[in-house]
Order: sequence, then C-alpha cells, then structure tokens
Amino acid sequence: MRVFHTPSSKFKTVTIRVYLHAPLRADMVTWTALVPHVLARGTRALPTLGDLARRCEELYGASLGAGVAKIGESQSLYVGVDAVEDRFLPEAARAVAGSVGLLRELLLEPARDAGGLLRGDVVAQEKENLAHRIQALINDKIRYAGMRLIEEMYRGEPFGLHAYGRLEDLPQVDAAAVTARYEDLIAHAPADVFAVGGDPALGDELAAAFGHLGGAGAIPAPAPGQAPAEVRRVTETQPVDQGKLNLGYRTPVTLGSPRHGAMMMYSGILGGFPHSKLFRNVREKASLAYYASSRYESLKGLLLVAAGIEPERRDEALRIIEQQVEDMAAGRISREEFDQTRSGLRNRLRSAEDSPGAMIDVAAEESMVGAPRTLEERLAAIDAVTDADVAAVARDVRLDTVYFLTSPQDGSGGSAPHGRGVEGASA
Amino acid sequence: MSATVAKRREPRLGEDLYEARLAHGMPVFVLTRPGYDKKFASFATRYGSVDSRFRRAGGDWTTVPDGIAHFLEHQMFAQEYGDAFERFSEYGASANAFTSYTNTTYLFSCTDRFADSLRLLLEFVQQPYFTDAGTNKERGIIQQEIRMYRDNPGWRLSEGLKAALYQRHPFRLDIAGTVESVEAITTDLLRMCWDTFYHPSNMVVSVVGDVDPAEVAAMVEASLLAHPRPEQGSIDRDVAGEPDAIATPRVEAEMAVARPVVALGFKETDTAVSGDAVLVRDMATEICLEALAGKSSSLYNRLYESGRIDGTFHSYYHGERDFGLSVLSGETSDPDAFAEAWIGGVKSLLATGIDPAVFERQKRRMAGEFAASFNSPESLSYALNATYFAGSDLFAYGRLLDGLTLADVNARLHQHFEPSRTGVSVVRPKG
Repeated sequence: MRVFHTPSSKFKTVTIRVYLHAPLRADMVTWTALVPHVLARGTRALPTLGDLARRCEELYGASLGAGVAKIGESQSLYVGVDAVEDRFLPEAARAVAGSVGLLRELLLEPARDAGGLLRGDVVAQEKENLAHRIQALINDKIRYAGMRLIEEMYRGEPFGLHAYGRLEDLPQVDAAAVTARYEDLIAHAPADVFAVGGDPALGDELAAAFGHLGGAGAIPAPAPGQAPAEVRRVTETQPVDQGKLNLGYRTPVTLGSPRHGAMMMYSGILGGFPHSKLFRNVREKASLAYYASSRYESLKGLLLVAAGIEPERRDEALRIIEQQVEDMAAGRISREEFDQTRSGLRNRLRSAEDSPGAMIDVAAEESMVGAPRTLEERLAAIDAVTDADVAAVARDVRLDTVYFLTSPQDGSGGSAPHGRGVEGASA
Repeated sequence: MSATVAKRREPRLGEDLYEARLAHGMPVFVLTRPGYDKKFASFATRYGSVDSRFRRAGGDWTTVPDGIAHFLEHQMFAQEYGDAFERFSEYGASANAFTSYTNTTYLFSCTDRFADSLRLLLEFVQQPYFTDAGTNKERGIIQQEIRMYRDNPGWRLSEGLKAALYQRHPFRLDIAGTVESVEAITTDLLRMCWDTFYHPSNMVVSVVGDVDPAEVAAMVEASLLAHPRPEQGSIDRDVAGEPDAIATPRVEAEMAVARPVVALGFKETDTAVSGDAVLVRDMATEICLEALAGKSSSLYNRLYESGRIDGTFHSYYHGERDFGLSVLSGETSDPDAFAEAWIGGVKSLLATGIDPAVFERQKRRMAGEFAASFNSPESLSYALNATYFAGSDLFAYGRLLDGLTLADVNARLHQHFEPSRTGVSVVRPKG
C-alpha cells in the first residue's frame, strides 16, 4: 500500500480517499461495481444509512463517499471522507480522528449477516439500484453520447467497459459473490491512500488505519491500440432536440511517455479552451454549436471531440472539425494559439493545487504509471514542448470512430426511430 | 482619491474580509486566501431573467422579451477588438459568465497576471460593443444552448415544477427564454437593458485569493472613474403580483429517460424578507428539509429500504427575495406514491414538530459545512455577492446560525411546508 499525504494549513478540511484498484474485466466489472454501494449501506457498528448519516452530522458535517472510478483500465473502488479540521471547531471536537475511524469502519467492517456474508437484502436492493443507475445513463444526453462513443470504439477491449458494469450480469450477482469479490479486493487489490490537509501526523494515522491493505503488483498500463483501417461510423436516434456529435481518435502517446506534454498541448490547442480551434471555428465562426471541445484521456491514449449541433448540420460540423484536425497535422498553429494554450494549461495545473479534490484526482491518475510527479515537474513538461513536438504528435493522431446521436426526423441517415444504426465498417 | 478599505475578522475561522465602497455606492469585497496560487474575481449585477418588466426612477414601465438578460451576458464578450474570452486566454486566465433568475455574473480565475485580468473584467463589463451583426450571430448560439437544455431531464423537471407552482411570476420561465422569444431581441433592447442594470449602483465586485486588498480596491476605483456614469435612481421591478396559490398541481413531460423522474415542490410565500432574515430563512428551511428528508431522517431510511427512493434522491431549498421553493426529487417507479409519501411525512412532522436532537445535530453539521465552504474561492465569491444583494453579510452566517432557535425552525416549518401549496413535476419515459 502507498500513502500519498500532502500536509497543508491552507485548507479548512482534510480530504482522504482510499483506492483499491482492480483490472477492468468483463467477468468482474459488475461485481466490483456493486461493492461500494453495499459498503455504503452500513457498518457493523452503524448498520443503517441513517446511522451513518447521523455519525457524519455529529462529526460537523463530515462527508462520506464510496464508488467506483475508471482510471485508465483500472476499475478503482474508492471510499473517501472530507472533514473539517479540529482547529476550526469548538474545543472538544475531534472531527478528523473520528472521520478517519469512520472511513476505516466503512471499508473494513461492513455489516454482515449471521453467516458472515454481506447482507442479502442489501445486496438485492443495491443490485436493483445499480440496474437503475445503468439504465439511467441514457438520461444525460451529452454524457450518454460520450459513453456510447467509448463503447463502440473499444468494443472487445477492456476500456470499452463502463465502470458501473453490465446489466446482463446482474441476474448472476448474489450476496456470496459480492462478498467474495469484496474480500478478494481487500486481500489482493493494489491499494493507494491519498490525503490532503492536516499536519504530517495524519499520514501516520492513515498508514496505521489502512497499512495492512494492498496486494503485490499494480494494474498494468493500458495499451492505446490501433484505429481500424476504415473509420467506424455509428448513428443512433432518440427523441432529442439537439444532435450530439462525438469523435474518438487514438494516439500512441500516453501518460508516462516523454511526448505526453506535447499531446496535452495538442488537445489544448485543438479544443481545450475558448481560444482553441474547435470553439472558435465550430461555435464562434459557424455559429453551429453551443459546445465544441476536445479532451485527452492520457492513460489510454484517447482524444475525444464533442459538439452539440443542429441535427441537420452534421455534415457541415464534421467537415469543420476534421479540418481543424488536419490543420493541426499540417502544423497550422499560430504563435498565439500555442502560447495561450501553454499559459492556459499552466493555469489549470496550478489552480488544481488549490482544491483538495482536484489534487487527489491528479495524483490518482499519475500514480497509475509510477510515482506522481510534482507540480513543478508537470509544469516543466509543458514548458519544454516545442512546435515541432506538437507537429510530431499531431501526425500520430488517428480518427477511429464517429458517433452521432440525433433525432429520428433529421434525415441524416439514422436508422429506425429509437434504434441504433451502424454504417461503414463493422462494429 | 484612494478608497478606504475596512477590514473585518471571522474569529472562529481566522478569516479576514476587506470591503471598500466606491462610486455610486458599489462595494468591492476581498477575501484573502494566503497560500492559494489561484485568484478568483467576479463582477455581478442584480439583473436576471425575472427582470423582464421594469421602470427606472421617473420613467415608464418597459417590458422586454424573455431571455434578454442571458442574451446580454453572451453579447458582452463581443468587444471592438474581438472576443474578451480570448483576451483572458492571452493572459492565461479562464473566464466565464452565467445568468441566474436574479443576477448576471462575470468571472475569471487565474494564477498569473491577475491585475491584467481584473482590469479586463472591469472594462469589458462596463464597455459594451453592440452591433447588429454580433446580435444576429449570437442568436444562433443561444438557440443551440436552449436546445441543449431541452434534452436535459433535470432541466425539464425543474421547468415543470416552476410552471406547476407559479402562476404569473417570471421565475416560471426559462432563464434563456425560448427559441422564439430570442428572435425578438434587438441590439437597441440589449443596449437599453445594459444601460439600466449594468450601473455601479446595481453591481458588486468580489475577489478571493492571495492579493493585496488595497490594490484591488484602487484598481476597481480607477476603472469606475474611467467609465463614468450619471447618477441613477432605483429600479422598480414588476413581479406580477404572484398569488400564494399554486398554478396547477401537476405538470408532466415525456422524454427519452429510463424511468420516471419526479420533483415535489413547496412554494415560497414568505416573500417580504430582506437582510439577515434571508439567511435565517435559508438556514431554517434547510433544517426543516433535513429533518423531513435528510439521510438521517427516519422517512428517508424507510423509503430507501422499501425501494421507493434511491441514491438519486435529493432535496434543496432555493429562495430569492420574492420567490422560491423547496424541492424533493429523484427517480422512482411510482411518482404518485413518491409524492404521497413525502406529503404524509410533512403532515406528521407538522404534528410533532422538529426533534430538538435533530435540530442540534443539523446546526452542528451546518457550522462544519460553512467552515468547509472557505476551501473554494468560487463559492466564496458567489456567496459574498449573494449575501450583499440580499442586504446581509457572509460573515454574519456563524452568528445567525448560533442564534437560530428550535422555535424559529418550527415556525418556518408551519409557514412554508403547507401541503396545499405543493406541486409535482414528472418526466416520464417516452414511447
């Protein structure tokens, strides 16, 4: 187990998150996904949601959380707590120590039934809640379109799995299997503890509370994979007012690569900022979209472009987006675009140091490929990037999948209403 | 001409708030954050989507198209030199703006070149550059934004709930207006609304970060001097004489969602409050909602364990000077049973009153959460603006929370949680 603690006096709280990392795998994904929801239902000493909530209130509004996050090709179970530092509370308050204890209880002392299993009634109910959660992914159309792009683009690869798991597995999930999954994670999963705030002694307390966790080894870094010879094109119809156009590109450059900084610059220049090519050309010049941006998922080597457009203007939007990517590859990047992107990225990296949650997010991602770099190292990696470096990564970016969510009436080649149609290469 | 900067301390949290009053009485607030690299500034006007019918001192009533405050927010970034957004990018800052029912806020955050960005923020908000070409271009973007919201079930749910609870108040309408209403917005109307509402007497600046308060105050003062404005009297806003009664008990919509999403709302009728009483109303309502529907409440636990609600359930109160509502919302397979269960819960809470132990525990939680809110420069800046516009003071929070009594909260429970003033909004799966 590794403990990454950043003592600090500038925050009012301490923020703690414990991760147990599991490889994303079809035969485990749904079981792992369920574990934190069962844990969050109660501990041996505090067996109901109400008991846990009352305890948090007594701890001056400590906020307790549990869930799963997809970090590269790791499906990481986490539990976490934010607690106000005692020095800002009435004299006798011990909110931090109490919160560490509560977090330990939540992860390590779940409520069990007489036979030692996680409670069957709770597992059954959280199974149903998980089914609803998976089904409800359709509700937020912007996120749904992003998720569907990844599902199509990485069909058959672990990265194509959603961290919530698969609906079709749920009938086989029972208390015995979830208990076994939980115990396997506790015994064997690589574990990391991140904490921000408090004095240095907190690191020791955390090591004492969680030190026995964590099996040997780490989750292997994902491989970026190859784009298909022919671009995958998927159109799906739903009753929506606005079309959601998402493009997925593969890049061989991942976190840990010496070219990572150049790829960060690439994505920033293309669509990370209001001055970026996508925002200016798709939204501002063509008045075509409300949002148009790109995001770089650097553990996997995935570049995502997303735009919300009028359904009937898909072809025009696609043409403009592809033109921007071509311009990047041809090195058509102005001095302003380059410099503004560098200062924008620097601003983002430095600002993240003022938010405990953002600090932990950065460290959790970095720690998947080694020891997290310091802020100075991450800034230096951006500063060292040259025009030629960006041009070099630009030539390795390959379009893989175009996904379009549109209304059935738009006439842009969707299949039957409410259906999913696949054009072009096989899915 | 240097502005006098007053300093106040929050002893429990060790926080210092600096304040200066400048031309036309406009305040600038600075909350220092030693050790923070990020600086956050916001410049806000008390002008939002509900201000669609108004009168300047001595003038006639004017009615403007719905969505104009939001349109103006978009249009302000268009400057003679180009896009103010890009200018912030040049400085390495990140800028944004948003329009609410009652305010329009322009903001940036940065780590370097704070003075350049602050000057830019102050300048572009005080110096609009309206053109017909710009208005027409922005219209297309805004219509896309409206379409984008229409695809969001949470947005549709809250639009439905406002329509159920409110008969006339413009709060019941979408902040951005409609695809049709923004067609009627012209450059002249934008200019007239800017002139009326973007006046220092109606605005506030707040800065949070490791900055020198006196320097910030001097910069704001200089910017106001560089953009002189005539004196302006108060602005009357017509809030359409909203009756206490709701409009309709139920509003339904159909969308591509997996299962029904429901919101049960209680309409605000205590609309004559101002100053500290606004904060007290917020706190008391929050305690009522926690006692009724918080995760530690018995009814929440009963409904969760029976599968009537799940992790999507949440409750909140949103109160402004002359409108507001409390909301209980989540996904459920049976919206009627959901609403019935919570109304039943309200009735029993009204009969018993709030448990003193619950009251004390909630006060303790809120004291901790108030302390934790000082981690976030953004939320501090917005809270400074909101408490100023309410006529209160962010630093009064701790004192007001300490002074809140169980009797206050029970009185609020009976005043606000009136079963006859509820409405339900449902978004059902389509097809």
